[in-house]
Amino acid sequence: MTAMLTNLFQVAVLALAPLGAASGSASPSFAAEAPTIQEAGATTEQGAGASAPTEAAATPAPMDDGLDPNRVAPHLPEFAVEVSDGTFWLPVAASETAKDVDATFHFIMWINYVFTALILVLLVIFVVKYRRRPGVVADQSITHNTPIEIIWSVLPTILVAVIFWQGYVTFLDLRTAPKGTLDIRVSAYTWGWNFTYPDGTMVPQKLAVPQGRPVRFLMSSQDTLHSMHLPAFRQKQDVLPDRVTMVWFPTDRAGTYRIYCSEYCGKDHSNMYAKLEILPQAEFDVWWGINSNPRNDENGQPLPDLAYGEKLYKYFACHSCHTIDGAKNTGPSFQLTAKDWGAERALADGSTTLIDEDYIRRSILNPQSQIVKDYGPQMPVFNYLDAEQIHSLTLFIKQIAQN
Amino acid sequence: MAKIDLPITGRETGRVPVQHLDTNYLNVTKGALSWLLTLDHKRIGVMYLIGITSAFAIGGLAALLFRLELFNPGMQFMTHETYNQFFSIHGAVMVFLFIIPGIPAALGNMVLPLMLGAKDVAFPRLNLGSFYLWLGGAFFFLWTLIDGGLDTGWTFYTPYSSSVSSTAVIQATAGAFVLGFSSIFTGLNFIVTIHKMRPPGMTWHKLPLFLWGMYATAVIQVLATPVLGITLLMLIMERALGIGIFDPKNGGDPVMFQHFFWFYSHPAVYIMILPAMAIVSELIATFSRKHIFGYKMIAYSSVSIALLSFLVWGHHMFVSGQSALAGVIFSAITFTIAIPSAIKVFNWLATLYKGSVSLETPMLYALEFIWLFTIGGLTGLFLSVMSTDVFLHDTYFIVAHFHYVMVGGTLFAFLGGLHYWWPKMMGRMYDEKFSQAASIIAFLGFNLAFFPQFIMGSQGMPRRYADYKPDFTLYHQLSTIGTLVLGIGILMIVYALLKSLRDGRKAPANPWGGATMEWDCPSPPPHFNFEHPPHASDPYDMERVKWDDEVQGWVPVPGYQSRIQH
Repeated sequence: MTAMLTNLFQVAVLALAPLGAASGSASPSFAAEAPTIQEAGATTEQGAGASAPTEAAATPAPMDDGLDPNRVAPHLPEFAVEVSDGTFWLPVAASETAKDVDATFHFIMWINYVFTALILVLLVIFVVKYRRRPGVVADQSITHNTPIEIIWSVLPTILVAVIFWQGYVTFLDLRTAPKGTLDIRVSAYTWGWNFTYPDGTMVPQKLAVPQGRPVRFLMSSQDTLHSMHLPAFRQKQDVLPDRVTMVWFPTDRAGTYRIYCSEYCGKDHSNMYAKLEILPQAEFDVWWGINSNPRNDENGQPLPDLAYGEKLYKYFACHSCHTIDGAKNTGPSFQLTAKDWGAERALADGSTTLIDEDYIRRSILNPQSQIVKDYGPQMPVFNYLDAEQIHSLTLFIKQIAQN
Repeated sequence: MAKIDLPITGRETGRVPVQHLDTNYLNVTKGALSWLLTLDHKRIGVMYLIGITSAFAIGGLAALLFRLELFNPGMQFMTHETYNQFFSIHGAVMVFLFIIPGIPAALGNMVLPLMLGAKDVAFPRLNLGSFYLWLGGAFFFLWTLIDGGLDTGWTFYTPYSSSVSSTAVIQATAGAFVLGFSSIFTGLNFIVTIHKMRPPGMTWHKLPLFLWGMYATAVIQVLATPVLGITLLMLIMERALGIGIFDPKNGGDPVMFQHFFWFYSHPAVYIMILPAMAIVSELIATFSRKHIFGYKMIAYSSVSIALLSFLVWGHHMFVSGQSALAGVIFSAITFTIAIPSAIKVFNWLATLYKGSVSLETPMLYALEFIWLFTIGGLTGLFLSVMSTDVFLHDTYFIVAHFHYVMVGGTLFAFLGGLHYWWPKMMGRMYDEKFSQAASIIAFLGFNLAFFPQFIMGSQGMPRRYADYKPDFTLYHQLSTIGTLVLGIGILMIVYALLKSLRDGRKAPANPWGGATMEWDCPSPPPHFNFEHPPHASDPYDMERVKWDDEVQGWVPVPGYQSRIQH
């Protein structure tokens, strides 16, 4: 117990230190040494030269990441492999609180082992020893035994009181963020995650944070229920459309971690992964240079409009509902939209609408206003896309018919 | 009091009682209408049995198919949508059409009046009505299956169910709504029957434990089910009319739905397990030929579980956004419900001690139940402790846990009860060796199917995933193989029971040596069960009956005086 509190205190101290150092430096400032746009540009070449050549060769473009799209979520380049680092029962624990959870887990597991073995052994012994034999009758004098019954009621009560208390204390640790966290806004939608840094930069599906300062996710959903599941931190919290919920985790241990959606949310629930990287500051700066602007390609160079649209198609997980090969999915195929460009499209309410640039714009910003006939109202609102992004996506959709 | 000669039961006459009757409840009247319009609790029980078994077949087939889909990562032969529909159909059909009505409506209907020495339940017409409501609910589920499917999971969480899903949510929830009334009617009937129709001599402390379990279950059915009904009706109104109750887009609150839902569905977990525990108490006593140990503790623990079950629903919602304080309170109360369950297991073990244990098929199921329920119950500790539940919530760990309780517990106890009372119901004995083998195969298959799910769950694998990452493959493959073995076991069980109807040996009145009253009437019982309510004695006074080679069954000891001291 004391160790737990001490750990919490240490985390809090660690958290406060960079906060003081960072105040006053240029935005974005997520840690003591904040990368600026210029720095990021400068470090990009170095980063690409140091670590990226094999990756770049294997993944020439974001569209073609070499993975079978049916196998894993196609908008994610890779996954963390944290399960293999863990024990028989549990994956790797990346925080002190996670280790506290594990301690309780193992304690309960021992209760399980002992009682299961006890019950099984007694069961087998009794069944064998008192098996029915001719001439041997059951002892009818035993109908109850008050002292024994009191003992086996009170003993388990004491045990469960202990584990209740353990669970309660660690639960408060899980739910109480230390001061001075890096607050990242999380917006969940069917089926993806958007992460927004304090400076307003948004990255979908994968995020990196600098090592050292604890991170707090402030989460809300754009549509239905989702749940933020961070197995390595033993953290989980539902993400709701009508309130802001919170999880926090320390970032002392650099590495790549999985984020799952664990509240069932429909068709692509099992593809609603995200990837969390905790990076040392220098590596974070490189990552930031490449990923903070979606317009950048993997070398940090700006993409032309059409290629940008192509990237956004996967970046915002459009492809999980809209195919480009004409196949029917949750939403109308973009090939159909491209083919019918300039024609009228029948809507669910019986009216029709002209397919043009403004139709695409309205569909992105206010999709519920014009549900296409034979489709449901599943599309989330993408009102955070800017005019440039909408323009690029429109270009991408229009040219599909020509392919 | 004038003694009336009892030619059928023979309990007090000292004659060997009648074992079989050529005219019994199965053939006393003929024709489809004589069954469809019957008020006989035994015939209604048989119709229920056919109904819930069919539902089990549908739910099981769905499970088999999606387990095959999960054999490898990536999608094999289903799309994400079909996978989601299969697991939802599996859950909804198994819960609402099979497990909840399973033991009370099928076995309870058959046995409860017999155990009371009564002619029927208190309200036979209500009983038939309850069956037709079940059929109505099943019809809605069939409609759901044929037209639109269901992809919300059996929990119908909002706002996905009310505003997003494009499947037949209204039909499915209407089905669950109607089934709720079926459940309420059965519960009401049982409460009144147990209160008003106990035979002379059957005080509350001489009530067989099966009836204590049925009584506790009925209390939950009557008090909790209306809340589900109202909740589902509100869901239907929101979905059909756009009234804002649960969807924030219309000003509602999705967490409120979860509170309402679990206010029913947690007690409903005990609608599933209390009857199972009740059956096991009977089986353990009969096959140990020994008085059940700690009768009062078992009886009162059933009632205390029933009452406490209303106060713990929030443990399903530790990560839902409910307040930490609410979580703490729900966690603490949850542990109080763990104790009575543990007490029952200890009592069953103590009953075996110095008994005379034989391992006929029903007893095998009872022992398998103890083993599986122990694992299911103990793994529940991880989920009632808040810190570990935050981690394990909505992973396969919880899937494994509740399958150990609901399948390992309820299904195995149901099968035990079915094999125990089958000779009474149908008048035929099944092939003992074959059924024992089937039981063991099902048991092994079950463990192989669900034990790996504990491990993958605690490794972080979320539930309701159509696809998974390659590092979980081994666990999923073991689980799928286990499901196939379990399926084979269940097919063998069904085969053995059906085969017994054709060429099984005629059952004696009391094939196992049970001391409760249903074994006093012939197998199968006549239409009216008993000519006269027999005088009740201690239901676990096993020396009341002795083995008789001539009838190949157990017969009452003439002029027996009980030696049991309480």
